[in-house]
Amino acid sequence: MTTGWRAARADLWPLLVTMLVVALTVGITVAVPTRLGERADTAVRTAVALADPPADLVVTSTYGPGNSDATADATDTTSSVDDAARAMVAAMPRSLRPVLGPPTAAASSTELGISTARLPAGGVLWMTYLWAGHEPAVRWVSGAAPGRPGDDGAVQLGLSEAVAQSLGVSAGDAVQTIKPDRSVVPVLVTGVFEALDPHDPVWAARPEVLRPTVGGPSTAPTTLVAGLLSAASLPAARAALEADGVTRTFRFPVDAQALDHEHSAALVRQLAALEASPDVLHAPGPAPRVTTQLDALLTQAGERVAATWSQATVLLAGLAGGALLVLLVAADLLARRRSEALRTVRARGATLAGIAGRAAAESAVVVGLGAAVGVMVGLLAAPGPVTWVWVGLVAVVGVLAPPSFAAWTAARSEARRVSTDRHQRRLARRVRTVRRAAFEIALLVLAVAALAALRRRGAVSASGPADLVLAAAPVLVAAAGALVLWRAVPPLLGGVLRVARGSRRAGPLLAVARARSTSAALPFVALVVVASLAVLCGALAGTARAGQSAGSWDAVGADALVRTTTPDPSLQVLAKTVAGADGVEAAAAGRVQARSQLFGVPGVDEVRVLAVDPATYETLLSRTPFGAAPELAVLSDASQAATTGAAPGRLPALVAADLLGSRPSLRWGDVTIDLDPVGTVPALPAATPDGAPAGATVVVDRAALAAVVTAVATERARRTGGTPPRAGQAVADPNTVWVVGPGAAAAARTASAESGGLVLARTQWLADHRSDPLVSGLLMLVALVAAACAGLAVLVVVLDAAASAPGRGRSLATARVLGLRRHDAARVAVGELVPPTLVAALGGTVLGVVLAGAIVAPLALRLVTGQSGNPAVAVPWWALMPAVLLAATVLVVVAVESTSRRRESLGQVLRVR
Amino acid sequence: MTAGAGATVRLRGVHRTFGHGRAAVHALRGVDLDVAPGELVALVGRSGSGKTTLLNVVGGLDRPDEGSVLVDGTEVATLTEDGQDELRRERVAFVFQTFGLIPELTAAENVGLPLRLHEAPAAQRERRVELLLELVGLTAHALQRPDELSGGQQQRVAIARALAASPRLLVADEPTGQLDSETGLSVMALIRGVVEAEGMTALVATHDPVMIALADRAVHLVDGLLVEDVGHG
Repeated sequence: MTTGWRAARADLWPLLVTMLVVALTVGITVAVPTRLGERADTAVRTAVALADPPADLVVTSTYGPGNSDATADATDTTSSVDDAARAMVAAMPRSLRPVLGPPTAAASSTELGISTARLPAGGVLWMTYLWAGHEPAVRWVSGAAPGRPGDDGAVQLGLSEAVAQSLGVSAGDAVQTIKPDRSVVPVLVTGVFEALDPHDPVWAARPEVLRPTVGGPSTAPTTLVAGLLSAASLPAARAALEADGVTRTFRFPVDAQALDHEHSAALVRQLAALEASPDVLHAPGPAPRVTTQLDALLTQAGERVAATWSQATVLLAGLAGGALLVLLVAADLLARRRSEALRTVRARGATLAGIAGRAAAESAVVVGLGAAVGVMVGLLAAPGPVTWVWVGLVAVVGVLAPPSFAAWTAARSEARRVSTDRHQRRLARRVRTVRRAAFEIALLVLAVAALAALRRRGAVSASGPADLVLAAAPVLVAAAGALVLWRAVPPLLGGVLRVARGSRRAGPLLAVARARSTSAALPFVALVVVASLAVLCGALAGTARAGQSAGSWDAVGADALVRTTTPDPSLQVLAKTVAGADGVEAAAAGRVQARSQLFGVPGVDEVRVLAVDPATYETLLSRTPFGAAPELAVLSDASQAATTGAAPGRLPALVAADLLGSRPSLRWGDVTIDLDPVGTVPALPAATPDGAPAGATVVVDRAALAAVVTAVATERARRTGGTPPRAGQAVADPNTVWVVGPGAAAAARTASAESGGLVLARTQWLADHRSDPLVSGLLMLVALVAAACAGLAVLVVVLDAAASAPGRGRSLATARVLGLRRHDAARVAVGELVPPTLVAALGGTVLGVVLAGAIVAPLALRLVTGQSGNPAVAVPWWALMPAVLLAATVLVVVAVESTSRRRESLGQVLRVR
Repeated sequence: MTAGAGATVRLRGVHRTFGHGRAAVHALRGVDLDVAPGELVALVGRSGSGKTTLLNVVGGLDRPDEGSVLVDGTEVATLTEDGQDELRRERVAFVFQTFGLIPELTAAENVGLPLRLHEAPAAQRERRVELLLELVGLTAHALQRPDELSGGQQQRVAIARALAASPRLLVADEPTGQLDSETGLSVMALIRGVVEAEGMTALVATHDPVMIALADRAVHLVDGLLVEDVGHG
């Protein structure tokens, strides 16, 4: 034990390096899964909290025809609505209870037509009973709460002040409402109320009770209002609306904060079961229905989490692979430092097993301490369960590597002396070559197979963690590439050595000769691998960042976007207004119609139609990364005739290249128009504002579209004797305004404040996307792994330099004895260490960039960038820093070595040891 | 202790102590020594008597704490580091017990190294290397590395390297210490021969009586003091 402790103390720093590498790797692999788990929970909660429409679980139930009784009192309502809600709460499956809030119940009539003096064009009215543990709290401004019908038999209804005002009625007024079958339902407005708490969730079931809204196309808007029934007035309303004109909805809000990723899958299964068998809830009525977005949202979020896990696994596998190689380098260094001692104990009769056992005992202590520190640091950084698989992998290699190298070194020392027999030397060389070639070919085949599988299947799995072999593909490819590169090093150095031999000076010869004889495959491969992983991570981070920016252009299409849910001619005015605002370079209005039917082209059924003013849109595009689009000028020229033509003709269109020469037809509203492909679609936003792929796109001139559609509709009316379309009828009104310029977002917000259009700013999209918990978490991991790999690369350089330091020291001391100047000796050291390091670093850089290109698609980086397609690889300048960092490390190592040698007496260096 | 005005090596009152206080080791304690040009002097003494320290001081690998060390008329004790480098490059050559060859270089490259330090033209260097390898009988081993040579061959390469830059003084520290007697004898004969052929001065630390016998004279070091100076017949 004492001897072991002395040996450990003598080689303290390689042991400390081993401990550091183990601690670093274990720390990261312990902390990352927990941190990702937290982010997964946040992602699930955010997805549910921001869902639009909300993720509420809704039970819908009718009463069934003929089940009403106009004379029934409030108890009928209490039992059919209030008590039914309570019963469902009691029957709710246990796993769903923590995530669902208390229900809001509503019994709402079918849409009833209503027209008043204030609303001569008519509107839509719902009569609604609301309950959320109680009826909504109101103050009756005039009149009283509705009750059972009076002698007139009219359904009694209360109205909010806003609704009463929009209808122009007051308490005591009678109004006629029209059922879908055109029969009349008389209604008496018994009172006008004010909500005591307008934000009470109970109102959310039918917001039109408090606020009239306007729906329908802008050319024919419809006012939508609702009146409030009481428990006492609902039975009469049900009777008046027979058959079955009242529907009950029980809305259970979802508490997003009660959700987590771990239990999502179980929840999804439970929700699916509930949707399939609503009877479980004891819901009333003949055919209750359970609907919710929650299962879809959880599934979607789960897939994103699984994808992020897969991506993280690839990164962690890379880090672990790099760390394992560094542990091997450290073990090799340890064995080299102890080679004399190992040779001695072997010569004294120690068995290889005994030597390995002693080394294993030491490494177990070192690795155990490192792992313990790593686990502690990991748990401090992210308290939670420990993923032992990574810890185990690192620990096993960390413990086994030193004894393996020690035994190998001891065994090799028996036949250490090079034979003077040329044939024996050649034979030994051949055996080594065959052994090495077999190993390298095996690794190469494994790496190629893993990469091929990764590219075919992708690293991202929506169902579970990534396959470890697939996840290790990058590190395997890096290792195989490093070995191939290593094959090139000896000939390269041999060539340089030939040049150095021709030189007059001693320095170049010494440097290259030492570099050639001391360069070892293991540290070289380790250096290439960790450098390539660092560069790979840098390239992935750069690609993600550039891709996110490109994704923002794809989703928004400009610096800002104004959208309306229905086409609105006022957007043309808005576009002109915005175009003149400060900081706006261009603005264009257009109609974006997703999923329009296309006929006559095999394989393409639906397209996105972009109806724009070609000239304006071209100007706008030229100020975006999509660039100039001369195709739009072609479209504009071709559309001139169609715009002015009175007879129905073909509509010029820009289409996908493979549709050129075809004769497609487009369904637009209730007409079908023939398209005339005149060119290919230029580079355009490839996604919808919500990030979904836009798919195939057809671009047409908006004016030409309107003219052709009108001409086709007129011709059809002439043929069929129908009503021809009105002149100026809005068939191609815009629903989108794109704005470009530094002031685009502000100008769009200001201009759209009155129109009610939705504004989406590209910078906001980008900020939202980048702050997404999974995206930001993954990018942080990328940065962490890049930094860790860069650190490991520095360690490899230091370890490799330390391994060759004694030999370098002796050779340089000999040369110094012969008269080599001290600073020339330092140059020789630099010349020895820098070329292999630079070759490894630059080779690693190239490998890293190539790997990035190879795995961007299978790694599904588009999920990080938000693009519909795979992002283009973008290598930021700082991703190339490892080469500079490693060269600087060599200079520091040489400076330290040189300083320490200054204290050595040359006379002592060459004495018998 | 003969003193000569034209000596290649002249030491006067040279002291060298390692360590401090009670742990101090007095390796040289006022050594006076003259070595005449062309003379081969054997430095004899037990291990730890200060032989290597004396050679290091003479060769500019170490500095005396006190005293004067003149080598070929140059005061070595006060030389700067660059001056010491130049001394070793231009005037003094070494042969070590451990041969001191650079394992990454071939025999020919090892021999040519001093000439490279002089930045001699390549053709001139190659000719000189060829000549020296022939002199030590290793022409056939020119492209072999030290670990492919026997101990005697390595020492002969070291001697050839020592002669490469035509130094004025050859300093050899136990040159036959790691060789068997037969090989040692041939190496000793080689040193004797090249000293005479090249007309150089040599200071050789040795235990070997044959080497001592081959020397022009032998001086004895005991505990850092030169206690005896014996001339040979």
